[in-house]
Amino acid sequence: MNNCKQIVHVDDDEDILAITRMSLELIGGFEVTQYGSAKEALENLPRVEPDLFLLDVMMPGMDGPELLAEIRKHPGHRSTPVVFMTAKADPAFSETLVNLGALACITKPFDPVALPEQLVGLLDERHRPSTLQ
Amino acid sequence: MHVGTGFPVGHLDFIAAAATGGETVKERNETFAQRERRHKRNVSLIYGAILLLGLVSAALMDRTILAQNLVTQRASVQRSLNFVKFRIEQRLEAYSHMSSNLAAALSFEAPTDKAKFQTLARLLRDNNPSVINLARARNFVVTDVHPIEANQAVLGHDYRKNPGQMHTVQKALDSDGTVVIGPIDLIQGGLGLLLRTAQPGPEKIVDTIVLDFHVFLEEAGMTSNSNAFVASARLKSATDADGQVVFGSDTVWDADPAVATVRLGDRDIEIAMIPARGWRSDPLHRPILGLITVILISVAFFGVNYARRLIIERADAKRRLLNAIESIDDGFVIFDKDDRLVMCNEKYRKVFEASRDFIVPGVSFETIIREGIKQGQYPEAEGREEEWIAERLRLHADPHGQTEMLMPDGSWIKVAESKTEDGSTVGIRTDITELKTAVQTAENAIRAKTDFVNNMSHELRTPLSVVLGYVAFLKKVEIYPQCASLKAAIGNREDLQQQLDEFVNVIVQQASKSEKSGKHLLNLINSVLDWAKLSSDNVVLKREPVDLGELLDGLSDEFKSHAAEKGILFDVEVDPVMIQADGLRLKQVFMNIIGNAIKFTDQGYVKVSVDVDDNDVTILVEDSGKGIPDNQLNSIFERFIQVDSSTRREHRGTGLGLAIAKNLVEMHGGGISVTSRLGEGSLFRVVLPRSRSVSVSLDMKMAS
Repeated sequence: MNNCKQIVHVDDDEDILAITRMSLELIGGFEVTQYGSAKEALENLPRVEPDLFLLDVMMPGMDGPELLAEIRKHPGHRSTPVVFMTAKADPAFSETLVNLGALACITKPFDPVALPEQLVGLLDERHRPSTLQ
Repeated sequence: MHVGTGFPVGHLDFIAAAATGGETVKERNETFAQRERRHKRNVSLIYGAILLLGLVSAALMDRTILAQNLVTQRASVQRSLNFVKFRIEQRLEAYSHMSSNLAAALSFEAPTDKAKFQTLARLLRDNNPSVINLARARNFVVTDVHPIEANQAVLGHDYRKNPGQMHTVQKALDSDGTVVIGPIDLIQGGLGLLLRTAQPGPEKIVDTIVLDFHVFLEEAGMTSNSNAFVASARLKSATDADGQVVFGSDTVWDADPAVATVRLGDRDIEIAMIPARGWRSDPLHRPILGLITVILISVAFFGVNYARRLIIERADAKRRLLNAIESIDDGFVIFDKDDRLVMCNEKYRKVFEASRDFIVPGVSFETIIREGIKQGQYPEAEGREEEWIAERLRLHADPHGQTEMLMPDGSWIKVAESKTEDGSTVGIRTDITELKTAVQTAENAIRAKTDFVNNMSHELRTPLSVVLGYVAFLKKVEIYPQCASLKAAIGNREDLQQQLDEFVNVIVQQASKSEKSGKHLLNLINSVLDWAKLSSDNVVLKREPVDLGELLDGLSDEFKSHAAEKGILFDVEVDPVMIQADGLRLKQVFMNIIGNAIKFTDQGYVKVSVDVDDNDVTILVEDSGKGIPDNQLNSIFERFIQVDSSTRREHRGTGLGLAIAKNLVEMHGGGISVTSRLGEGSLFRVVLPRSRSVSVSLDMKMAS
């Protein structure tokens, strides 16, 4: 399916972190690095070189879009694809996020079994960003 | 800055420029009773004056008429008197002739013929009642007398013994005609008038006729006792003293009579005449004069009363209008056609409290708002004064301008201005703070509700993510590394393998059920969120050309397997048709309707077809399901209604699906309806409008 693609996942919910890690590692076979806050992720930015950032939107302190802006400031991550995950099920909101420069927006609750396939599909079709429900 | 008009601002309750000169309503009310009293007094005075004037005029006229009557009466009396005078002279002439004739006749007879004298004398005396007696004297001695009986004593009387008589006899002898003497007292009493005529011939014969002066005058028309006139005569004395009254009563002379002088012989006699009833003017004109006076006074009264009523009505109308304007709970203002303040009520000045000092009659609208801005009257104008003024003036010039305006105290004022026929501007200022607050509160409440539902939805979905996430793995429990290692540990021990398999089955089975419930819960949450957005008008359709055929075909793929599972025929017959719509939302609508149809149909079919005409596209979803009872046909599009809600929950749903579908179809400008027969099936009909632009895009699509 993929060749050990590396994904950085940031979310403040431990269970979501666990589920996502299971999904991406056990089913998708990705290499996953997880951070429990945007701040933690920022601190470690220089040390990671992921193929994809998977970011929660609503986080305490710094939220997803702010984190995206910070990531983009980092020379190494200017074009790294970013996918958001949010529980806000609003097409307009998703669109806003995509307009901020995200590859897509995945709505929670997500199907952890299908998530890896979804992400692979997105990475394969990077030239055509779209909103996924 | 203060405009020093000297206008009593603090005291003023009402402004009315030219009309009232700054008089206030309150002042008017206070003095109303006094004014009424004064008014009544004035009216009484006017009535009194009219009455007095009328009566005085009538009296003057009466007097004038009476005086005129008197003049007329006097002239009439004078005419009568003159006639009497004329008759006296005429009679005297006649008697003189008679006397001459007698003398002439006797001269033909012998002077001694006494019989002849008697005959002629009798003839004369009988025919002339005023003749008392006749006498003939020869050589100054009376020789004959008639009637003889009463005058025997006169026979032989010698005139020469009486110088007075002698003088007149001689005078008759000296003259050719008749000498008139008198009136004189007669020997037999009374007054007489003597006519002496000398007979022609050598002898000195003088005939004398004695006339009763009284009768003579009566013959001439004098009367002392008449219905019309009372006459009197008196001798005219040489002096100014009154002469002897010889006819009628003294009283005539005291009654300012008409007077004439008549000459009898060598004497003047004054004759006088008064009306029998005195100098009295008959007030025959009085009834008419009175009537006219009454009519004129009445007309004047009526006129004054009418004018008074008009004045009162005008004043009342004006006062009523002013009171009404003052009583309005809104600010009221009038600007004239040159845009200068004519009047406003106190409320208006209260509304614009900061500008109060400039709101005086005569000040232009622009001045008022410019000064108002300096006073901080218009918070909205701050920082953009000129722009604000321009906007305000534009609105003011608008014949039906309306706006809302924030006041310094935070209250809101609705400004409504209209032009009157004469080009004036009439304005109303209404305090709409409460309304504004209410609207704000309502909007806040709606926003709060929507926010709440949004947040709740988010808050519910996050834990649901965890539940559904773990459950998804539990359903595939074998992927757990722990499971793999357990399997490895068990190795080939079949009994344990079997137990493990059974355990895994139970987990997978229950995880599946949990997942199903979790997904249903998710559906519920999504529907509630959707409904909340729709009901607060937070949904904006993203209209774009949508191929309805493609959309329904895509849906049919999703439902096919489900229909097949239930063993019912699912048939979708749709040709491509382009409409302008929000594809995602339409999908949601038909998901719901078709989903329902399949859900409630246990055998038979579900058919989807499309009818296209020039204006509309009609999508028909027909099923052979259990149908909907008539009494629920109307309510199934309402919230939280399910046909089987009262019975056991055979089919699970949110109860919001059809309500959301109806809402979305209506947002597209279409409509949704249903017909149904219980036990036989239902037919849902969704009508969506086609627009011209859509048909163009359809053509384009077909061309490509």
